[in-house]
Amino acid sequence: MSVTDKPIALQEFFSEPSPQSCGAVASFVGIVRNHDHGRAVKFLYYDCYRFMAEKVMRTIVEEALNRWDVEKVQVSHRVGRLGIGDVAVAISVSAAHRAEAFEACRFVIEEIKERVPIWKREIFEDGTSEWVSCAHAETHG
Amino acid sequence: MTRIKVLFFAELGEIFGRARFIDIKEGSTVGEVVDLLAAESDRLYPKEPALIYAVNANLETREKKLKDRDELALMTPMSGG
Repeated sequence: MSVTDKPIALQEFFSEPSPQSCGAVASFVGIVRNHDHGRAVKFLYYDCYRFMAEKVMRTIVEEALNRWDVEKVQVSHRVGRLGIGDVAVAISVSAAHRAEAFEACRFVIEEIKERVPIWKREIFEDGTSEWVSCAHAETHG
Repeated sequence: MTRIKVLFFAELGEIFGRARFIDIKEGSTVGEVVDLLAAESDRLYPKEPALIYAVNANLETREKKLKDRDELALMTPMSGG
């Protein structure tokens, strides 16, 4: 579980072994895309209240572990300046069976978007930029 | 006198700066600090219905009373992920 300003290396992220009781690993990777609402995006900048973000992420992971029969949840969220194609968030959920793994993974990303104090600024190719508000954040990757 | 630290992020950070110390009357609420800051910038009140408050990294309401050395964060709706 981490908030980092360094690139997230997926190979490393997914190299952690799952418990032997697990038969399923569901994952979600959020990457920076080059467009939003029809506008060309040049790069993103993520601001963060790091202390609280890590605290809320830990809470979300605990909620997932309590609510589903899952055994391991890994989360990493990058902040700072991210280019197109960079990994913004990576989630991995290990469980005995796939249904729980998928559901818990979905829960973790949705809750992160809603509750973790991280804010995205889009810098567009036309030179303008804006902070993304929650109102239209739900359509984002 | 009670001294609190106020943190601002994203768009609010651009308006008010990242952080500042504010002296308030003992027992002042989060809402009273918001009112104080709104006097500085007319960009705060339009955002207020959606603002999220945290005191010492715990979510709180406008009615929360502040203590000396509390850390108050004023936040717009989150947009991570």
